[in-house]
Amino acid sequence: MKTPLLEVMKTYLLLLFALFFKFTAFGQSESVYDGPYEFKGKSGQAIFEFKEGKDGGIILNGFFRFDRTYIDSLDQTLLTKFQVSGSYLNNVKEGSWSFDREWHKIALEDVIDFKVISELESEDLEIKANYKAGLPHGRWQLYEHKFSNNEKSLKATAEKIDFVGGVMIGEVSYRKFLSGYTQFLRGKINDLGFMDGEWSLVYLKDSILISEARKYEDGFLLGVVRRNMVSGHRIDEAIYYSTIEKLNQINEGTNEYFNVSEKVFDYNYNDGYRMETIERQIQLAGNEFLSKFLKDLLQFDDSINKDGELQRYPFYTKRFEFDISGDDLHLLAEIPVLFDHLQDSVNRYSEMNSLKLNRSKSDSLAFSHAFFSDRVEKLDKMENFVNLLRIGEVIHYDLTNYTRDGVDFMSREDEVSYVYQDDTLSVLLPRMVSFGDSGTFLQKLKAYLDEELSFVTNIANYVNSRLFEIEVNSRLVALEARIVERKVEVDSLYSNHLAKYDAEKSFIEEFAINFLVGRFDDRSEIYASSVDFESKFDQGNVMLDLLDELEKRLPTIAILFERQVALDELYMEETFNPFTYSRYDQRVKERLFDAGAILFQYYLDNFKTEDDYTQIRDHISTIEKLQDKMYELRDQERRSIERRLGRRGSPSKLASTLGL
Amino acid sequence: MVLFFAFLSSFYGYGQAIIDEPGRTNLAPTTELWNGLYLKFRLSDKIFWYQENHYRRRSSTDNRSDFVGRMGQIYNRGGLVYLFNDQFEVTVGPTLVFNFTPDKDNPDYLNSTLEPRMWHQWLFTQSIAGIKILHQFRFEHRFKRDNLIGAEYKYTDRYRYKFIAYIPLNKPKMENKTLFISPSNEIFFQTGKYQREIFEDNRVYTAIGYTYNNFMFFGGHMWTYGSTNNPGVYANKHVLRLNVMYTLDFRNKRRPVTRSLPSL
Repeated sequence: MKTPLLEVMKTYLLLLFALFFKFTAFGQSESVYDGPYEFKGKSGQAIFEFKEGKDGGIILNGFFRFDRTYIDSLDQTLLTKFQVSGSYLNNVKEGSWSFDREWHKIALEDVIDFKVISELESEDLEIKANYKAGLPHGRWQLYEHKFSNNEKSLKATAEKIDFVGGVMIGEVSYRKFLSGYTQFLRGKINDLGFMDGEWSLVYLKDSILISEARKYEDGFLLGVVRRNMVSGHRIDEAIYYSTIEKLNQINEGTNEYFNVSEKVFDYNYNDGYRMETIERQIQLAGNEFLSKFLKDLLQFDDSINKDGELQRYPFYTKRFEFDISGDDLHLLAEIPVLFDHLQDSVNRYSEMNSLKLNRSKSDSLAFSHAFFSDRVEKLDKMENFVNLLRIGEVIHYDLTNYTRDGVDFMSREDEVSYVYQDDTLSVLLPRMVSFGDSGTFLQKLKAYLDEELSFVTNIANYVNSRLFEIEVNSRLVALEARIVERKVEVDSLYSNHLAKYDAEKSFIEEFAINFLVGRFDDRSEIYASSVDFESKFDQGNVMLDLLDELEKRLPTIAILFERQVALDELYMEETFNPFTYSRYDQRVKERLFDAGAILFQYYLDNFKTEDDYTQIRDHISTIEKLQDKMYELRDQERRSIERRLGRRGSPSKLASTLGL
Repeated sequence: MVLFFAFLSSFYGYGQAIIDEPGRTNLAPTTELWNGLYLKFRLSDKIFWYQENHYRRRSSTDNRSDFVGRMGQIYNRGGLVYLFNDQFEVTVGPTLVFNFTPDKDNPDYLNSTLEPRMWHQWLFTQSIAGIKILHQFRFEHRFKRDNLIGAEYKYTDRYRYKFIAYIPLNKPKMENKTLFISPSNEIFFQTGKYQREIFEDNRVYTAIGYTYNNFMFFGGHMWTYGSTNNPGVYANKHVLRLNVMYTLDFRNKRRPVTRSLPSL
C-alpha cells in the first residue's frame, strides 16, 4: 500500500534526480559559467549556461544573466547599474529578455540618528524584449523614468512595439518627455514591414516643437507637412506627385519602363530626388527623431552596431525600379570609369604644389589653378550620382525627379573665377554640352564628362609645359646664381692665397689665369651657346665642377712647393771647410738633386699649360711621386744613378733614370 | 797681367838691378810661378791628413820677368792634423823639397838636391763679422844644401808666423760658392849654426779665391823680401801663385734623414 508520505518522497526523489541529472546529464553538454563578462562593451559579472561547440568554442545555450554595478571613479556619487536577463538558444537570443539600466546620483546631505539623509537623482531605462531565433519577435516595451526631488516621472515610453522576425509590424507608438514637451511618434507598419498610413511625429528641432504628418501607402511616402506646434503655422510641405503618379500608373497598368522594386529600403524615402530638394529635406528632422527612437529601443540588440548606428532596419519604405535602355546600359560602367579618371587628374593638379606656388606667375596659370579647384567641387557634386551608378542603385532613381530642377553640375554656364595680381577675373568655358541637350540623362552626363575631360586634359597639358618651363628656368637661374657665387668664392680664395715662396706665388698666379680665367671663360662660352636645357644644365654643372676642383686642389698645390723647399734642405749637408775653417751647408748628391729640380720645373711647366681641369689631380700626383722618389734616394747609396744622370738629359730620360 | 806687373814694378822699383841702401843691398826683383795643390782629407772627427804639392818655376837668369824660365822647386809637404775645435788645430809631419839647379848648363851644379824637413804647426782661427782670420805658427826643422856639387847639408830651424784673412765678397760669410779675397803676410825667422841673420823672409800675399763644393781655387800675387846667403844682401820676388785646394771627408757615416716631407 502506498502511503502519501511515500508518494511525496518519491516525487521529491524524482525531482531531485531530475534536477541533478539536469546538471549532470545535460551538464555533459551544458555548463554554467559564473564570472566576469562583457556585454555590449560593458564589463560586469555574468552567469549563463553554455555548451561547447565542435571547435571548442562557447555556445550560449540556456539562461543568461548579466549584472554590472559601477561607481564612477572620479565622482563617487554616481552609480550606474545594468542588468540583463534572458536566454539563448544555440547562441541566439530566444524568448523574453529584460534590459534594465539605472543611473543614480546620490548626494549625501546629512546623517541624523545614524540614518543617512541624502538626495537621490536617478534615471532608469527598462526594455522588455522578445526574441525568436535571434531576431526581435513579439512584443517589446520601453520605459524610461526619471527620479528627482523624490518624484518619479516618466521620461519616455513605447508600450506596444510588436516584431515579427525582426520586423516591426502594426502600430508604433513612442513618447518622449523632454523639457516640458511631449515628443512622440505614431504610425503604422503593415504586415510586411512597410511604413503605411498616417504617421505623426512631434519633435523638438532648433528649439521649435514641430508637428509632422506623413502619409504612406505601402511603403511609398506620398506627402509630408510640418507645422509649428506652438503657433500652428505651416513650416513646409511636400507632396510626392511623381510617386503618386507612378503608383497610379501601376494601378492602371500603364506603367512603362518602371515597376515597384522588390528590394526594401530604409525610412529615408527617396524617389530619385536630390538632397537639396524639399522632398528630401523635409524628411530629415523627422527621420532623425525616428532614428533616435529606434536606437533607444534597439540599443541592446544586434541591429545596432558598436558605433551606435542602425545596421538592420525594423521597417521599410519602397521604391520604384526603373529600366535602363539598352543604349544606356554600357554607360552604367563607363561613366564611373570616366569619372574616376577625371577625378584623379583633377585631384592631382589641384594638389600640385608647383602649380599652387607658381599660380601668380601668369594669368593663365592663375586660371588653371582656380580651374582645378573648381573642378574638385564640381566633381564632388557629381560623385553622389556616379556612386549610384557604381553600386547599381540608379535603377531606383527616377531620373526625371533627379533632374527636375536642372543639374547644377551640368550647366552650360561654366564660369571659373580666379584672382590674378589682386584682380578678380573670370573665364567662361566654351561648353558645347549641357543638361539641356537632347538625349537621356546618362547620355548627356557621359558627353558632359567627355567634354570635361577634354578641358581638363588641355589645361593639364598647358600646366605641364608651363611648369616645366618655369622649373627649367628656375633651375637654370639657380644654377647660374650658384656659378657666379662659386666663382666669386674661388677667385677670392686664389687672390687671397698667401704664398710662402716666390715660386709658389708665381705658379699659382699663372695657374689661376689659366683655369679661373681662360678655361672658365671657354666653358662660359659653351654654356651661353647651348640651346637646350639639358646641355645648358650639363655645362653649368661642368663649370661648377671646375670651380670645385680648383678650390679643392689649391692647398695641395701650395704644399708641393713646401715639399720642394723641404727637399732642398734635405739635400744640403753641413760641411766643415778645413782650409777656411768655416761651417756651412753644402749640396749633396748635386746631380741627383739637379735632376729632380729639372723634372720638377718640367712638370710644373706642363701643369701650367694644362687645358683640362680633370687632369689637375694627375699633375699633382706626378709631382708628388717625383718628390717622394727624391726623398727616398736622398739616403740611399745610388752612385750609379748619379753617374747616369747628365745635366743635359731630356726630362723623360731623367725620369726614367730616377725610376719614375 | 802685363798691366798688373807694370803696376807692381812701379812700387817695387823693377827695372833697377841693384838698389843700394846704407848697409843693405837689395837685389833686383825676380819672378816666379808657383802652382800648388793642397789636400786635406778628413779621416775622423778630429784627424785629418794634410798634404801640399807644389810645382815652382822661377825666372830665367837673363830674364827676370819671365816667371817660368827655370825650374824652381818641387815641394811636398804632408802631415797629420789634429783638430781640437774649429778654432785650433795642430799639425805634424814631414816635408820633402826638391831644389833644382840655378843654372842647368853649369856642370858645377847638381840638377836637384833634396831638402828634408820636419814641421809642426799651430793654427788658430777666429771670425770677425763674417771674415775668417787665421794665425798660423809653423815651425820647421830642415836639412838643406846648396846645389853646388860637394856642398854640405846645413841644419836650420825655421819659425814662421802667417796672418791670413778670408774676406767673403758675395756671401755674408765664408761658405760654399763664395768669392773672396785673402790678404796674408808671413814672416820667416831662422836660426842655425851658419845663420848670422835671424830674419829670413817676409811674404806679402794678396789672393783672390772661390769656394766650390770640395774645392777652393785660390790665386794671386805674392811679394817676398828676404835675406840671402850673403849678409846684407836682400832679394825680392814677385810670385804668381795658383792654387787648388781639395778636401774629402772619409768618415763612413751618412747623416740619417730625419726630416720628412710634408704630406699632401
